[in-house]
Amino acid sequence: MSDFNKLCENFGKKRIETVIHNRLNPDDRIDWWKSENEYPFSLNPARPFWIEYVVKSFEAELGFFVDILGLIPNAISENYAVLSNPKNDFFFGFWKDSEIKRQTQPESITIGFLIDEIEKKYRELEERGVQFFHKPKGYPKNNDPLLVCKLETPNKIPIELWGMKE
Amino acid sequence: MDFKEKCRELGEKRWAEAEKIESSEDFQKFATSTPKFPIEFCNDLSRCWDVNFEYYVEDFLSEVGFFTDMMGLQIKGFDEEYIMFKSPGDEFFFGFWASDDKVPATPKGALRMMFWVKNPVEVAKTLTERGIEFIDEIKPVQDGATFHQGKIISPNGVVIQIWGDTTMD
Repeated sequence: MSDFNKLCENFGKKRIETVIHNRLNPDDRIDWWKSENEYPFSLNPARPFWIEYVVKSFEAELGFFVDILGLIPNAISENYAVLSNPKNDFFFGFWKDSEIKRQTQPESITIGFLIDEIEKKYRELEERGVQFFHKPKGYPKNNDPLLVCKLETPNKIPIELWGMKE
Repeated sequence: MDFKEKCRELGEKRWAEAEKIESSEDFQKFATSTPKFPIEFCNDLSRCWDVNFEYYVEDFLSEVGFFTDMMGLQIKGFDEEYIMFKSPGDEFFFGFWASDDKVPATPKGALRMMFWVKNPVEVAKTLTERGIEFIDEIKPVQDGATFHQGKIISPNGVVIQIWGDTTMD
């Protein structure tokens, strides 16, 4: 482990210890969220932050997000796309698999949406041909008010929809 | 036709349209000619979070320390094997799990994070002073350009690209 990773690990350990301390000592709580260093970024509101992954079938991923889900291309080329929702609440992108950029193993990332009207939206998406693994169900117990349902993109990237029971 | 084939056909059609774009007006028309995005985010949860990207790491604690105490992100939620982060302004959310036998770690380099910032040079200076090593030094994208980019890497191999124009307010 590099010195830098060791330093990070020590920070992480200290933070988890703080959490455990707070759990065991409710009357002597420490600010567990306070960072050793300030957040340094002043983000560009036009596209502040996004993640990228790599897919084998670029066209299928593009068609799924743009023409099935209705996301908007923010940037696009023959091997790369960045998408957003109409209100620009979020951005993400994907690359076409190549010698330089290898496919992201589908099970290695998950995209989650926390949404309103989950049962209605589930039906709406199903009518568009989206195949879900299961209907919205309570989490963690079946009768809980927090619901989740799961689907996957054409490149098998898991997507979870979360929302409160209507 | 199965669902993936249907998506591919839509994507090919969409790409064929993209190739005809010649102006920003064309792009606007192209970009907004999509079906209705059906999702309304959870306002009643007081913007708990809207979209969250998750990945898996072998060395959970290092990743926690890196994003919390080196990068200064805020913790949105956690348990023993999971943590969710957010920016102070709630512009974004992401999380990671400790990998295990069932779900292996996301391979190094398989996921990239991009920060488009107004202060790239200042950010690079700050992060370097904290001991974060740039795998690609922050520098203009070409000689004389005001647009800068550079890359760092998290302890578990997530590439983080920082880019932005130094002339932005």
